[in-house]
Parts: sequence; structure tokens; C-alpha cells
Amino acid sequence: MSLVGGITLKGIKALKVEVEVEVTGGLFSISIVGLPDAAVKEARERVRAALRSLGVPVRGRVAINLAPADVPKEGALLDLPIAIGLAEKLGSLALRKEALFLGELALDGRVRGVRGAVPAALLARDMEVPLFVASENVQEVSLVDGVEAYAVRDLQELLAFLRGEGDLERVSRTAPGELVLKADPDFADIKGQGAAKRALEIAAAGHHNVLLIGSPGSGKTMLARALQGVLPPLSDEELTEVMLVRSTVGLPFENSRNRPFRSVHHTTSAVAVCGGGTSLRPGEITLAHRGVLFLDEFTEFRRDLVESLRQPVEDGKIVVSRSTGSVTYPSRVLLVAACNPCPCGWKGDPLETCRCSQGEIERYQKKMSGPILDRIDLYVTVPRLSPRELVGLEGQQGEKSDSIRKRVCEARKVQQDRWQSWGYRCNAELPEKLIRKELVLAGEVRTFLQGIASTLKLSGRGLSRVMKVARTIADLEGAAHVAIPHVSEALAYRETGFLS
Amino acid sequence: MKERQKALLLLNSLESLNAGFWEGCCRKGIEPAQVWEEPSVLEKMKLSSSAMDRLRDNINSRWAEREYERCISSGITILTFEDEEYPSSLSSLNSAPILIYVKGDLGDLSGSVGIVGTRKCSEYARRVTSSLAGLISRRSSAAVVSGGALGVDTAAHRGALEAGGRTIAVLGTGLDVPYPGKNKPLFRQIEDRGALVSEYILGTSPNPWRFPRRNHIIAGIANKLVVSEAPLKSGAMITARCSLELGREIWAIPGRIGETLCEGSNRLIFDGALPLVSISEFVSLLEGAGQMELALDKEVPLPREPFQELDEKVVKVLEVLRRSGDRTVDNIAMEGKMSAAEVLTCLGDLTIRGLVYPSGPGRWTCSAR
Repeated sequence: MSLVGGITLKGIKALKVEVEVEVTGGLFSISIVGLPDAAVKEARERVRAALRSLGVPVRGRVAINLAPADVPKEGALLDLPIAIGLAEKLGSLALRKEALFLGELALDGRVRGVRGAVPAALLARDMEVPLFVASENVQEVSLVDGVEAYAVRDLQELLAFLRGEGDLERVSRTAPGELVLKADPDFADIKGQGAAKRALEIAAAGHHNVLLIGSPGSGKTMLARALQGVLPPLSDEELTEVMLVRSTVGLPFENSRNRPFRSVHHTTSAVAVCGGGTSLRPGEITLAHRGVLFLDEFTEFRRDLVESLRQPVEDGKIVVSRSTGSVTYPSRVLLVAACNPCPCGWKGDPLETCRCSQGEIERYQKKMSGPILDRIDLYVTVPRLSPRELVGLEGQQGEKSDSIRKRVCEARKVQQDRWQSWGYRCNAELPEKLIRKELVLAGEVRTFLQGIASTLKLSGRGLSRVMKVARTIADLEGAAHVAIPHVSEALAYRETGFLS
Repeated sequence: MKERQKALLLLNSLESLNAGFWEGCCRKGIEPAQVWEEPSVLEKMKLSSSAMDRLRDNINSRWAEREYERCISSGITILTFEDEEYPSSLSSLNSAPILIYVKGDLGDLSGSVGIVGTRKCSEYARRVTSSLAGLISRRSSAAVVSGGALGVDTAAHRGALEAGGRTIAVLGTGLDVPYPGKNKPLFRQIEDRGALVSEYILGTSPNPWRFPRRNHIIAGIANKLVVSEAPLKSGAMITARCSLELGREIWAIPGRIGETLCEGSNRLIFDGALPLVSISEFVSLLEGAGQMELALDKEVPLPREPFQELDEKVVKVLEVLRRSGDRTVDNIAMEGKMSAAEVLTCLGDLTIRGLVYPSGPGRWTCSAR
């Protein structure tokens, strides 16, 4: 058995790849077998040049086998193990125990960082073998607890270490980032918009999906961005999940507990959002895992894209299946969508006049209908403030994101404790059945709710939505039971005439 | 089918004739049966050659019989202007239709209130129209009369139906052609609780030139006319002009000056129409007219705001909105010195009671009284 190991990625998991090398006499050639992609095949040039620069000449007929043979291997992350395997075969070192290597080689022997360092670290930890990574990847690897990892700057250093002649920097675990979060923009920086801010606070507390409706320039995008700042910080476990995803696609490392915020443009393809392609890459919805997925100009999105979001938003995971295989990616996101009330955007505006015909408005609003709207608990209309109103608000100091976040965290904790035995974390995740059974309302609240259900013609689903939101409002207040004012407030975030 | 009815059906199918025409024919001594039995009579009627051709086609293809069958099978009554049930108010129209197709029950039309306005109305006009129609239905026995279009027409019917009143929709298409298609369910409700009316033969498709005629019929049937919101050039203004010629009472709901949407209705006020400044006062005038069999539930006090049951904060929010509408939550919060959450709670409460409504994205206005 070869002691040299590399990895290849399948979804967000690392698979071990055993690197076997054989050198026989004959004319010089290097061949790589084991379903390598173009990047892996080209490793031979990099490996040869790198070894040469260290004074290790590669001669004869070289065969490199990447096992298991039937798993496709991709990317430049196998450069380092191939080089080590070759060096071992050529007699410049002798490995005593199994190890994983990860890195891309430069022609002069330097080692470059690659994507997939976090999954590799998790694999090395589970296999209980040492991991050698490029020093560029050290930060992300340092977040993984209990892995024996070494930072490698260049090949020479590594060879010396393996021969027992030199020393390598051992990666020490760094604690995840401080709990201090930055809110950008801060809620206090946004003038007015009390209703929208309150709705976003509720959304953050109960993990409710939100639809923001407002005229152009009313501040929908800014509000959505500010939501990130009031979400509770990532827990250790969640931070690892987020890092895992980021590392898989090769996004730069960020040691902060801020939740991801991914804004998707409406021209984005369904594959880019949901994941896929021949290499089964994760999509935007996975990059937004544990954070916010923001769809601006929601009505401009293609219908099939919106529909394909429905299942992952509900289940918190997405299965990407292609002819090359099938992987499961996490996708627990808070969906924030924003749109105009009508095609021209001025419907209901006190200053501008809307020029859309009834038919146009209907067609526009029809685009928003469909099952995805069933996943949205809060409908928030955002007013465009007139200059006079803006000036009037000048002196007002809004609440800071920090203090809102504190309330949100407490509300989340209450929910977690309450729903733990059912396996849910927050109110928004509750299935219909559980809402009916477990959200027991006091007698007067029940009669009140029945009353409004008939006067406002609420559907069954609409009713449970109101109940879920009312529960979150009560949680924010620290109330043990839902009372009438909570329900009244929840009604203000109902789908209004602007959509029905 | 009576001979007279058949003759009138045939003449009505030409779309260009009115009741006066047939009266003229009668004076000339033309008998109904002659219309299809003696071709020479058509010459005597002084019809254009294309009209005569069409009439002959219809006679030869036995169209009138088939139309009659169709009406019977789909529960439509044909009222000719000579019938007793033909609305007497409609006869006063200069160009009264020869006959009208009615689906549903017309009932008593004296004192009926026509409510007309633009299709593209503001949220404000929609709310006011629907509460006006609602209060009329609740407090008097008068029927509401309007067209079948979206916007103000739909709001009027909805308001009346929700209050359990009678409402009459005059269509510009055949009764079997619901237009706009979106109002199909509404028309079905109106059939049950009032009537659909049209002078057009079954299967007539919507065409712009037919709607002015429809407006005349509304003006004819309605005893009083309320123009809710109308630009200068609109069907509602045609109705208003026609009502004026008939000497009917015309009311208009004041709108903001400078907005084209309500230029027509405002102009009417300038020209002498009565400004409708309070829904409840308008409705009490209806009752005061006295020709009604008095409101059914006169004993029930007016739906006053149950202020005493309202929370103190809720009252404060309502007062702020009463002072001026189109307020954002921030405005209310600042004036009432409350938090946004409290304001939203109050607004939720007030919405259920129907005292406020969202008048634009993130803006609230109190309902008209």
C-alpha cells in the first residue's frame, strides 16, 4: 500500500486518493491514470519542474496511478502528493507512516494554496493521519480541532522534514473569531423604516422568510443588507459548516461569526444558484447556508429558478444529481426577496403616479404567485419617504443593531429549548401539524383568531403563518403565551391587497 | 315566443335601433309579423341596405328562435320596452334600448344609486367606493348600479355584495361573455343577489364602441349618480353627461386637484354636481328622500366606532390617521410617541375592524366615514 495520500472533492466531502508511482527503464514519459481531469494531467509538468529545481531529476518511464480508479479527480490539489510519491520512488526519502498532502506546485518548488483544505483537514482528523497543506491554507485548517497539520512553504522544506532533517511549522488551533460582529449598515444608520426594521427583527428571531415590497429608492436593498447585522452569531458548529462550504469553492478565508449574505442577480442561471455542472459545484444557495440569500427584483427571476428554490429552502439541503454523480449540499438559508409593487414601481406612491394598466399589474403579480410564496411568512411593504419626511426623521436615533441582535439571540434560545424534543430550531421550521397541536392558544386569543380568520378570509396556510409569526413576536417579548396584541401585530405582516 | 318579441329581437340584433324607432314603425301601421313575412316592409322602415341584408340573414337562419332558446336555457329573461317589468326609469332615456337581456332579478329600481368611475382608480377611490356601496346596502333598500369593469365598478359591486345588498351590473358585452374575465366569479355572485343587464345579443364580444351605450343604460336605470373618480375623458363622464340630460341628481367624490385621475370628477363638482363629502350623510339623504320602504334595520344604531372598546394607544393611532392619511409607521410612531412594534400592533387591530387600510407600500390611511 502506498503511504502517500491526496484528496479529491465530492460535494463538500473530501475523498482520500492513494497515489502510487512506478518508475521503469525506458524513454522518458509520465502518464497519469485514474480518471484525472485536465488540471490533474498537467501536474506532470509542474511536478517534474519542481523536483528538478530541487536537484531531483526525473528519468525513465513513470506511471502514476490515482486510486480508487473509478472516481474522477479534479483540480490542482494532487500536485503535492504526486511529487512526494515520485520523490519517494526515486529514493530521495522514505515515508514511515501514512500522510495526506494537499497543494499546488509552482515550477520553482513553492507550494500554493488550493480549495478544499477544510474538508481535507476533517478527513485527516477522522483518519488520524498528519496533513501537509500550503501555508496559504493554514488559517482555515487552524479552525478544525484535533487535526495534526503542517504548513508547507515549499517542496524542499517538506522533503527535508520527511527525511527527518528539518522542521515544519505545526498548525496550532486558533479559536474561532470573536463574538463581536460588525453590522454594515447598522440599523441605527437607516432613517425611519420602523415597520420594516421591526419585521426584519422578527424574521431574524424566528428565521422567517421575508418579501420586501416597495417603490424604487425606498431602501429595500439596504434593509436586506442590514438584516445580516441582527442575525445571531454563528455557533462553532455552524462556523465549521460555513467554512467547509467556502473552502470547497475556494473563497478566501474569513474568521468572523458574521452570517453569510449572498445577493443573487436575476440573470443568474439555475445551476449557479442551486449547484451543479459536471463537477457538481455548490451553488449560491449553499454559499448562503446558515445566512441570508437575497433575491433582489424577485419578479425578474425566471420562473423555473424560483420554483427550484422551493424545496431547498424548505428542507435545508439540496441534492444535486447529474450524470457524473449526485451530492447533497446544505442550504439552510433565510430567504429575503425584494420587488416593486408594479412594473413601473410607483403603485401607491404618494408623489409619483403609476402608469401601469390593470393587466400589466396582474401579470406582474402573477409572476410572484406560486408555491414559493407559501414559504414566505412576512410580507413587508417599504414606503418611499418624501424629502420632508426624511428631514423630519433627522434627529431621531434608531436602535443599534447590537441591541436588536441581543433580543434576537434570546428569542432564538427560547425557541431552541422549546422545539428541541421535536428536532426543530426555530418557529419558521415548524410543520403545519405541529403548529395546530403545539401552539396552544388561550381561549380569548383563539376566539379572536377565529374571528379574524373569517373577516379577513384567511386560508388555512395563512392562518398558521400568522400563528407562527405571532409566536415569534411573543418570544421576542419573552412572553410565555401568545396574547392578542401579538396576533394583531402578526396581522400587519400579512399578504395585503398589493399581492392578492 | 310572441310575435312582437320576435320582431323586437330581430330589430335589436342590428344594434343601431332604439325604442323610438319601433314606436315610429307602429305609427306607420307595421305589424310585428310583417317584419319577417313581408320583405317590402323593410323598405318602408327606411333601413340601410346593409342592415336589411343582416336582418334577412337573421330571418332566414331563424336566429331569433335560436336566441330565444339560448336565453331560456341559460336563465336569461328578455325584457322589451313594452314589457311591464322593463325599468320605467330606462324608458325616459332618449335612446332607450328596444330590449334588454336580464340575468337575475332586477327588483325595485326606484331610488337606485349608480356608482361609476375609472378602471384605473386609486386605492383611495376603491376604498371609498366600496364603503359607499356597503353603507347604501346596509342602511337603505336602494340597489347599486354600475358597469362590469375593473376598478370603481368592481369596488362598488363588492361593497354592496359584502354588505348583503342588491347590485346591478350593466355589461357592454353579451351576458354570456364575461368581460373582463377576471370578474367572472363576481358576475356569478351578482346574478344571485341582483342582476346582470345588457342590451347586446348573446355572444357579443367586448369592443370599445359598445361601452358608451352601456354607460347610457347605467345613467337611465340609476336614480342618482355618484362619480367616484374619473379623468376628463372617460366612460364615467359619458354617464354623468347622460344623467344630467335626464335631470338626475349627480354627486361626485372630491379628489386631489392636479391629478388627472380625478380631474373629471372634480370638474363635475365645479359644474354643479353635489360634492360627496360624507358617506353617512349621503346615505341618510337617501333615506330622507322617503320614497323607500324605509331601511329595514332603522332601529340599529349607526355603525359608530366602538371607541370605548378600543385600547388607548389604538385610539391615538386612529386619531393621527384621521388628521391626515398616507402615513408611514414612522410618522405615526413619532406623533404618537410609540415604538414601531406598538404602532404595528394597533394597525393590525384597526385593520381587522376595517377602520384603516394600507393605501400604498408601507402607508396607511383611515377608512372614509
